[in-house]
Amino acid sequence: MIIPVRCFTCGKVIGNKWETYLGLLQSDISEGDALDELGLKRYCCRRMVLTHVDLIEKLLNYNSLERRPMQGDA
Amino acid sequence: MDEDGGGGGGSSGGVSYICGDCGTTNEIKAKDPIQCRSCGYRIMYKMRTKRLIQFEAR
Amino acid sequence: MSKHIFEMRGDAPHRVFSAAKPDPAERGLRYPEKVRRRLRMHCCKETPEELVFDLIGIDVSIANALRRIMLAEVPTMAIETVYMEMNTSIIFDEVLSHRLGLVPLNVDPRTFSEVETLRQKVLKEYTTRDGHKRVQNEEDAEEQETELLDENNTVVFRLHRRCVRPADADPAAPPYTEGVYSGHFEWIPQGTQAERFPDGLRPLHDDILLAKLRAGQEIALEMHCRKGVGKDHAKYSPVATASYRLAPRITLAQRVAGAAARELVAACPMNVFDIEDGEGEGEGGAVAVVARPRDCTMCRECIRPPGWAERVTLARESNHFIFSVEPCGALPARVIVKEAVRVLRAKAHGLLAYFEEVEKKRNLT
Repeated sequence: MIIPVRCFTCGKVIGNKWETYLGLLQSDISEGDALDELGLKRYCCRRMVLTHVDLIEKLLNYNSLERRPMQGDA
Repeated sequence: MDEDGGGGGGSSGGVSYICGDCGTTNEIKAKDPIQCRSCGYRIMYKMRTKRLIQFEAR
Repeated sequence: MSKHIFEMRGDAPHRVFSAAKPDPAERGLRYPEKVRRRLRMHCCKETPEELVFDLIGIDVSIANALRRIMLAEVPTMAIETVYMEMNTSIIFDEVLSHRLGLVPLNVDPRTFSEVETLRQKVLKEYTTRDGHKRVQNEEDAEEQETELLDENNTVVFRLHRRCVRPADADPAAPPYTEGVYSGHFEWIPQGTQAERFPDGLRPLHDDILLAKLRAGQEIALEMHCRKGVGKDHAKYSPVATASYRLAPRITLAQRVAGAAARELVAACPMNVFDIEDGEGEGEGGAVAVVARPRDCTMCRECIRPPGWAERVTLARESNHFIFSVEPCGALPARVIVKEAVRVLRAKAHGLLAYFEEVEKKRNLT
């Protein structure tokens, strides 16, 4: 859904690393090197970021509030 | 009567709903047709309560 | 607490008792005095992300107690209750609360006290029978469980974000999305907190993604933080990992030189061995040495080929612990270790007090 705040296994904070990770992948860095760059050295934290599927980007599209005409409270 | 603490609309006893298609707020009274006034869509969503809800951050 | 060596042989680890004779100076000394004589500690590496230190001359039981206390019993501050005023985002209330709870806060837990219930407070104030009588009064049982929150045990944050599409947004542009980050927390000082913390209180990281909003969605909530320990919930744990391993001891039983030395260096995946110029001429003069024993993972790759087990001994020392502590919160690693020792000491004192009480009771009857 959305990137978890912490690694499930060890508790290291990873919630602030997803966007950087995407940026690194965009600049043609391999996944492994990007994870090293982020300081994720244990395989528990690495799998958190490596295997994450950011479904929230798809679900955000289902937002009827967005189509709401400009009303008094908007 | 308005137990929802804010889901309700005005003073006339109607309840506000949000249209599932266009997102406009509609005030619907008892026996009114369940239909959006601006686009005719028939799926309406209840407004979220304005009450404070307590959660454990666990 | 005799020191021994664990030898990693081809089949399995073997325990080998140390041949060292007992120190005559220790004769007649009691256990704590012996430990005091033997205990050594030194720091190997200290960065904000990790602390590595050696702890030499103690029992596994104590080393393990220290590790477990660091994980589960050193207190920290974390968000415990969330009061949700509005949440029209697509993250559910419960999920959002859970995510908020996991955000590490840059609040020193030593400056706050633990939350007490009325019952606990009464019991503390009247340690005599009087207090027990008060709390045993069933009538106000519910009231006794109410938690006494004040400025000394609670930190309050607010989070209010509303996503509004900019008026000049290009209609052809992709839909407007806004992230909600931990940096959006707003500290609400309680009582004298504003004077006590002139620099303000905030989360440790400002860039943790908590939710994403599309136009028209809104999150408004208030969070109450308190002190807790890791055994209650992992969000209170001050460390990401705290672990130890036994120090490797690698010895070459005989001189390994020339082609054999090169073979040994190439065999080790952790690059533990080096080649140095020894005595002798040409090829035979280059001898293998154990350069980085700490890097050894006991993979036994070097003793696998026939004949090598006689030349290389892989072992671990039973009372030399290499600790690695990775903090993830307000407390730096060395403070966490210190606090853990303090907790361990308090536990030991508690146990001692209990034994003395039992002793006293037995003497009375």
